[in-house]
Amino acid sequence: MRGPTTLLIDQVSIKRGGKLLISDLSLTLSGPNLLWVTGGNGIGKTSFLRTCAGLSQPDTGQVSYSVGNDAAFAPEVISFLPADSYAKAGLTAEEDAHFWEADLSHGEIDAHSRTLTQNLSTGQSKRLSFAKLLANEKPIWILDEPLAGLDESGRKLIASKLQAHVRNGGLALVASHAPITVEGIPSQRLILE
Amino acid sequence: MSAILKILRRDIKRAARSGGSWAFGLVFMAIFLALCAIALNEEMSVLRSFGVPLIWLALTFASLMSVDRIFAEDLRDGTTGQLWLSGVSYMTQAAAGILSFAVISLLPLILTTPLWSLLFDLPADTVVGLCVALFCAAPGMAAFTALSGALTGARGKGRSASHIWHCGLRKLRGYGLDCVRITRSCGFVSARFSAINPSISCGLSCEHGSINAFYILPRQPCALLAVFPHCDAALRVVGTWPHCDWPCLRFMSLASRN
Repeated sequence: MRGPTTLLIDQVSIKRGGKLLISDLSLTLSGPNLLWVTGGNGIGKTSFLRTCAGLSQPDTGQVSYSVGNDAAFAPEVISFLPADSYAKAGLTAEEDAHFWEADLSHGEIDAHSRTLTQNLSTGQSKRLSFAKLLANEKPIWILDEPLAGLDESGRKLIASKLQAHVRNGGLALVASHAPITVEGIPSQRLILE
Repeated sequence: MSAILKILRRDIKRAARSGGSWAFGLVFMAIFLALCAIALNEEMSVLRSFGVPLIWLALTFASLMSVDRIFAEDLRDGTTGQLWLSGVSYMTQAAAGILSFAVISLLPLILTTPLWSLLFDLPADTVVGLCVALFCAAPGMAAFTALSGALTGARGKGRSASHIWHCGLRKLRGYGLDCVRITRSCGFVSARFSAINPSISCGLSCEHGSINAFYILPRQPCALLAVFPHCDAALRVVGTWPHCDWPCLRFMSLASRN
């Protein structure tokens, strides 16, 4: 690691469907830190996270990343957990994980390794997605509704991994309706209105 | 290359378990050619003269059965973005999509050509020549159809536009495919394409809120800029294939901003 990883959001505006969701937002975040993004349905949380992950371009402004003093490219620093599963129907959980070089045990879903992904429950799909995120772990985690559909043990699993990530100097942006905190780590809250 | 092969393996595995959806093109081709053979009466000389162009036409149409699946599913479920974040460039993904399409959808159609040739009582040397020509044209056809998928297929409604595009194939010649000038429809301004003897192609489409421009040049350093309409990037340059002496594609997408 060449130094702390920084996410710079500079005067970002995001429009979707002709509607302005976010206007002139500027933020600088460095690890260890956790940003809890919250707001009502359709307010633009997912659009904001996708923009931070480099998967969408902002309408104005820019999002940039750096490690230490060096500029970085999104695929070098971003791990993104989308709200919906991106497991491929027709593959078993094990095959899907293998494609992404993931270990099912990281999502505690190894018991369902031979289940076709289309037959996994919402929570199991989320665990599979999380295992895939951990396979490609990078300094900035961007998690969209990571707790949705999970049972108690799944929530604890994700919370513990998130804590470990942030405590190790990582940065996390988490969109969630439920409060997200990491003990001993300063967390910020971004309310989209 | 390993990423392309990994995606290809995944797609083949999924196609094998899809309950035969990969074979829709074959079924379409069988029905289309059987109906044509019946409609052309039983006069063998007539059947023979129409056999080759009809097989070309059927194969072109049948290949479109899966045009929507080339890029749309990965784009919709977020796989495209995840692969990009894991270090697989958009260019590599586009190449993998084209290769998957060629192997899963196009190859079975070409391999069954001798069977369809029986319907038209084609001589053996003609069948061999036709098969060789189809194999030679396969990369170009795969890229051409993938281009249709990229142009139009990301959010559905692509098939009809692609059909209109392919319906512009007015001229079928011998073993080759020669498409001359596509009529103005569905936003397409013009296109010229030849699978075996590539000529300059260019086009412009404007639909579903996105503007796509492309051109195809023969024997130039090849660049394929795959297009994902509706992406938020104003200009999504996917990558380049340098030093490729192959019917080349250059493709740019200017996606609209809502």
